[in-house]
Amino acid sequence: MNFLGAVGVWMDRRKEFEVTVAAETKMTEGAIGPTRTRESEALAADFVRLIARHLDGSFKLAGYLLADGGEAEDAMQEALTRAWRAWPRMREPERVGPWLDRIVANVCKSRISARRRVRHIVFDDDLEVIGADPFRTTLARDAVGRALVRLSPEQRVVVVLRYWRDMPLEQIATRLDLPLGTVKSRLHYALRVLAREIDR
Amino acid sequence: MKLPRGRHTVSGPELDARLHDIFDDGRTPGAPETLYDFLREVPMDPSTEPGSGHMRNVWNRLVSTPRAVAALALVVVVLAGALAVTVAGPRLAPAGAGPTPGPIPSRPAVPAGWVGTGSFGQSGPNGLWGGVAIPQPVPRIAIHVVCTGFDQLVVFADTQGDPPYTDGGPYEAVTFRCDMSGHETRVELTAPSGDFQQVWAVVIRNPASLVDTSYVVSIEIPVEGASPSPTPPPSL
Repeated sequence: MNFLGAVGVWMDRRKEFEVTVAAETKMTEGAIGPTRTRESEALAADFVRLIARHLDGSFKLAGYLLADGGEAEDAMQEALTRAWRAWPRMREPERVGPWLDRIVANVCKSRISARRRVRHIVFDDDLEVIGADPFRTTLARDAVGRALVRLSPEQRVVVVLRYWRDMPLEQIATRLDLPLGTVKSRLHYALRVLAREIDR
Repeated sequence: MKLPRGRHTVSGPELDARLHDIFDDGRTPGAPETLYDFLREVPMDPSTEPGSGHMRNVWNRLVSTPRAVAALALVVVVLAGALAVTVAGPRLAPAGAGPTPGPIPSRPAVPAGWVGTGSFGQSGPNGLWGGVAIPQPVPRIAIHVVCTGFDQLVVFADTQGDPPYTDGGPYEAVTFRCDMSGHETRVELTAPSGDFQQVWAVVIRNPASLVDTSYVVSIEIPVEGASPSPTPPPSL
C-alpha cells in the first residue's frame, strides 16, 4: 500500500468511526427503558463531558511537571485511560478536577522516575520544534525554573500546585491525599533549593 | 516542622514573584485537539473497558504510551535480541525473506573517519525488533538510521554484553522518529563507562499509522577504533 492509499484508508476509517458513534447515539436515545448499552453510553458521555472541562488544566499540570509538551500529551493519554478504567468508582462528579489531577500527578511522577532508568536522547530533524516546546522554554528561561526541573517529582508537584494553581496548602494536601505536614515539608525544602538560585 | 500558615520561611517576595512569573498561563498552551480526540475515543476502545480486574492489552499499552514504556519494550528487545545476536547474527531480516513485506532501506553510506561494523533492518506492520553485536567493543559509536513510516524507532546501545539484560542497566537509548521521506539520521554515542558491546532496536508503533515501518540501523565506529584489518560489514 502506498502512502496516499494508507492515508485514504485511515480517513475512511475515521469516517466510519464517526458514523458508527452517531448511529449508536441515536439508537440509544430512542431506546425504551434502561439497557446495559444505554448505561454504558451514559457513562461514557459523562466521562467525556466532565473530563473535557479539566483537560486544559490537567495538560498544563503535566507540562509543568514534565517540562515537555510532547511527553505531557503522552502522560495525559495514559492518565485518561486510567481515569476511564476507574470511572465507575467515581462517586463525586464535582470532584473530577482534583481526582484527575491526582492521576496526572501520579503518572508524571512515574515518568520522571523512569527517566532515571531509561536515558533518552531525543534526536530528530525538528530540533527547532523541540527547542520551542512551550513548557521547556518557560521553565528554562529562568534559573529558578531550571532548578525547579531538578527537584524531586514529589517536591515539584507541590510547587506547581502552590504557585501555578495558587492553591492553599490544605487544598494541596487534599488533592494529593497527603498529610498537611508532608506538603509543608516538601514545599519548604523545595523553596529552599529554589531560593539558593536567587542568592547566587 | 511548623510553618506559618500561608507563609514559607524560605520564600521571599522575589522568589514568589519569579515562580508566579514562570507559571504565567499565557506562555503555555492548553490541551491539543488530539488530546480531546483521544478523550472521546477512550470510552469507545474495548481494550480500555472500565472496571476492576480488567487486564489491559499489553500491546495497546505499548502503542498508547510510547515513551514511558520504552523500558517495557526493552524487555521484548532483551528476550528477542539475545536470541538474534547469538543465533541470527547481524543479518536479522534479509530483504525479501520471511513474512515481513516491503523493502528494507539501503544501508547509509559511512562518513569519512568512520567504518561500518554491523547493520540490521526490518520491514513490517508490527512491533519490529533487531539487534547486532559489535565485534570489537568500543567506547564511541555512531548509530546511523534510515527509517520510513510513522512510528518511532528506539535504539539501545549497551555496555553489558551478556543477557539477561536488566532494567536500568548500562545503556544509552536514542529515539528516532520515522517519516515517509526515509531520510538518514545519525547520532554519535559515548559510553558512560566501558565499551559498547551490542546495539538493539525496537519499533514503537504509532496507533494512528496504517503504514508499515521499514528501517535499517548501521553501527559505525571511529577509524581509530576499528581493527587493523576490518572485515567488511554485512550488507542487507
